[in-house]
Amino acid sequence: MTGIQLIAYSASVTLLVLSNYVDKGVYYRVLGKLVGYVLLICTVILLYQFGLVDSFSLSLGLSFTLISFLISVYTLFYREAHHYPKHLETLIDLFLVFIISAYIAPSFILMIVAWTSGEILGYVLIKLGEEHSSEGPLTSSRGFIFASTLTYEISVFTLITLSIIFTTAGIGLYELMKPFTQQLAVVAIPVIIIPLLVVGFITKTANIPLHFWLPSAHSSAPSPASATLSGLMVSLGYYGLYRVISVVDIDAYRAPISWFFVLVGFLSIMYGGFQALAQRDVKKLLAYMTIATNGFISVVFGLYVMRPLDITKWTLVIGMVMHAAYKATLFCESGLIEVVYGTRYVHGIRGFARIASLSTMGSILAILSLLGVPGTLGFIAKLLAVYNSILIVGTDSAMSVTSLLAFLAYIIISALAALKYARIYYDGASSRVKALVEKLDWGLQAPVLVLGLLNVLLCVLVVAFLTQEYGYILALITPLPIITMYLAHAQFRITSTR
Amino acid sequence: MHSSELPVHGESVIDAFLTKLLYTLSIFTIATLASIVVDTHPRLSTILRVVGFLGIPVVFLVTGLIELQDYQLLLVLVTGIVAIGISLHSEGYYKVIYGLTRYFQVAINLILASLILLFSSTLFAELIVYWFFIDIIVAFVAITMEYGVENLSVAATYVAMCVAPSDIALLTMWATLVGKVGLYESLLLALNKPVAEPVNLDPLLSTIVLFGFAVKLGQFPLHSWPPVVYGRAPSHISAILSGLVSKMGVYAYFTASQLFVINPVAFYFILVQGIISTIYGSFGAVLQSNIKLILAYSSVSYGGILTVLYATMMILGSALLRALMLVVVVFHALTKALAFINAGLIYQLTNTYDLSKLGHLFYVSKEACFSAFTVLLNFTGVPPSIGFVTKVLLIATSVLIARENMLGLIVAVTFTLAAVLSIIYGAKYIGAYISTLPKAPPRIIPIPDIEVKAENYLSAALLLAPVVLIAYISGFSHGYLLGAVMMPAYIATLITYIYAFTRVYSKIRIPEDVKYWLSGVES
Repeated sequence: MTGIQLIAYSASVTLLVLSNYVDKGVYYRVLGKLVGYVLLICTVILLYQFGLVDSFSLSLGLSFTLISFLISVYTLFYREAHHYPKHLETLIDLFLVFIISAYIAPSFILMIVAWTSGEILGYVLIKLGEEHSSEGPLTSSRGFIFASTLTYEISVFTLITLSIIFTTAGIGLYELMKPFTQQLAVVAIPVIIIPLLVVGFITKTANIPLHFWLPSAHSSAPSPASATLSGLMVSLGYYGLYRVISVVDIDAYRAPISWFFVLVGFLSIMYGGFQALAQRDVKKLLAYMTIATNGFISVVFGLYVMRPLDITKWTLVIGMVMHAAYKATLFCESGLIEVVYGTRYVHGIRGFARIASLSTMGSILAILSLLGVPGTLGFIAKLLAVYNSILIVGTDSAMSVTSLLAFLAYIIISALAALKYARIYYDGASSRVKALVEKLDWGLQAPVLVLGLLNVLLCVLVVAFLTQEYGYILALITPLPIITMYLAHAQFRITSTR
Repeated sequence: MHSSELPVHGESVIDAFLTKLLYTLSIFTIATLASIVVDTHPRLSTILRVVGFLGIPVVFLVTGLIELQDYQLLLVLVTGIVAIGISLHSEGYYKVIYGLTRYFQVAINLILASLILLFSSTLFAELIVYWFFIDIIVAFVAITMEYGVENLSVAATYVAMCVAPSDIALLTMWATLVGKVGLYESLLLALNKPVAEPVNLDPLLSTIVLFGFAVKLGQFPLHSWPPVVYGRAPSHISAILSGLVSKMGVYAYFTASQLFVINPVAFYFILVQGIISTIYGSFGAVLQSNIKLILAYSSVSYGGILTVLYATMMILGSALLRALMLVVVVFHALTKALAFINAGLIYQLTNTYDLSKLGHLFYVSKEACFSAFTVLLNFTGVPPSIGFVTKVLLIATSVLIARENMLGLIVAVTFTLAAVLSIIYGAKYIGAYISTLPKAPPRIIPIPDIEVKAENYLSAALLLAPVVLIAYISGFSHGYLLGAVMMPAYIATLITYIYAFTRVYSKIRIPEDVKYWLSGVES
């Protein structure tokens, strides 16, 4: 990093931390956060302009910073509603900043530093939520630190060791400090090292059989932390894998590795999906959907390992952004459900749309993304995924069919989970759980609404970033999810007052 | 095939795009406007709906601003005609149930407008967008419209068993096109003209594509969703689904065979699917005692007939079968839409779909019975109905094929079975109206005027449809002979039928107040 980026970055972090200690009122704090995240966006753009990060990091960094800003604002109101300790806001801000830093870090070492700090903060936040809430397991933070963080460290240390042993003599650790945009040395490694190198990232993405820590950890954390862990942090696993396979020579093992990812992804889609459909705890439902969605991204990643095409890389990016957008929206909404009903067991809850009208609009858009309506990120991710598996139909038909089946399974399961989640909005008369408040404060709802809108807006932005003509076409169909949202919202209003 | 050879609109591409934009916007705007003013200005809303669903497409098509292929043209017109009927009928229905009808109108009219736009799509991008849009609105909004959360499981069935396989088929089609002509070019691919060089599709992809579209018609082995979805969705949504949305499958069949050279393996695959579904659906319909389930199983059966026709048409390369397929499309769209909205009316009057609890509806509402009779005529195939024309053509053609190819024999047997069984379930359906006499004087329940009008309008469309079709068939070789024989017969029987119905209508009297002795014997 050169001076100017470092200055912008430090200013942003300082401002974000300080903004939580302004006593003048909530709007000043929101303003402080806005400036802080804008500075972070400036940092990302400057890094890109100076050729320190590539477009992969740029697109993820920008879209995740947008989402982070909204999660951060949401935390301000969430903390008060839930009576969390004051330092929750600072913790969340730092957590968000570290995760974004891991995405935009120019070199391996910086990525590892930011990521590890994020892991520690994640542990602290899960512990906080575990002790604060009366629902959910008590061993979740332990599971997180032992399963997720530990295996991540194994992979990271393998990487560091590798760089010392296997790079050409005299370079050593320096290779890990070079920016990704420069030509990195590609090292040939023995096959036995590969499992060690990827296991941490697979645990982070919670693919079967290393998924067990995720549902309890993501459901125990405070809602903004859940949104961050589930929406932004798990995708770091794919980001790390993407970086690792660019410095390791895997040409000899492409087929087995890609088959591994496709099969593991398929299993995760089926397991996560069916578990999600059986949950009564809304946060558990979302956590299991994280496993299923990560299975979907794993299949795409398998296809990328098989044939590292540009379009597959962008499918990976869009898959990650889709996951971040809808998961952040729905996890923030689950926090509102806890505020209104005092529980997150939603099977008896009906008619939530009457109490939180504004945020309902946002979560409908997230649900539509999960359903795959044209004009949302979900649609474009599923479309590109199917396109990628059709691409290899001539060269490797078996993998093409397997991945197509996996995508079909994901399309069905995500739609079913979306419909299951939508139950809480219908039919207010038949609610078996009494609402604790009549109307929800709009400050709590507004960030969820904007997060929901991101499911549509980011679609246009990300794709316009890829190809401009395609962006125009997408801009033309943007009204479709909005119309659907209006119809669904009107229906919820009608049925919840009946 | 490169972008320069693509059959896009050439230099006038901007003009064509603007025309299409005008067309799209005007249909959407008028449909929305009609829905918004429906509670305050019902008459204006009716006019707007007629203009939006039928007027604008007709104007654009007649003036040649938009050029479509024959099957697109037919589907657009039939959808327009049916859409007006369903929309008007739902206005009356929801006014009775909820008092206000604006929200329901917005949803229903948007789906209908999108269907018209889907069938008149000139670019491949339009097909994709409207296809997904319709499926999602139906699943997420329309199916749960009347019954709320308890119908979410129905929506889930629809998504898992119908939407997902057909989405995969459409995406496969699109991805293959992208691989051949490029991303941007594939979206601008013209659908309203035959493609110069269709793309070869290997057996695997051909089967995935056709299988997915067959699922839209409720074909075996995913034949179990229509009874659930058509049976439990609100009646008007069932009418839209069975009458029009299932025709998206037929539309996609035609589009697929226009854009691709499909491997024959896939045709034999869906032929088997179609034969099994036809027989299964017909028997299933005969065994039901719920009106909507009868209609749902009958839809599976007619979906099977359409699939069989498509497969044999593509295997044999017959233009006659193509024409026949379009006849069946028109017949099924009109009949099922009318039957389902009539079932909705039965529910509005009696609060049940169960045939064992119904029986003398004729005495409760004579107006509802007229359209039920029209449906009966078409199911059983009484001349002059389009059901009769369809059945005659189906059996005659399959026998003709059987002389040349063994395939025809199986097809002929299947069609004959379906034709016979449809008489039975047609009779069961009308049983709701006339199977018993009322034991006590029935309470006459008034129906909103708009519903009667909508049903009579669709009945009239059904009764008049054969004229158009006979004229259309006369264009084929030796078809004019058929036309010359059928037209007078049609006119004669139509007059007889209307005369007979009005006589019966005026003769049947509602029984007087029945007096019972204490023993229970009539006095």
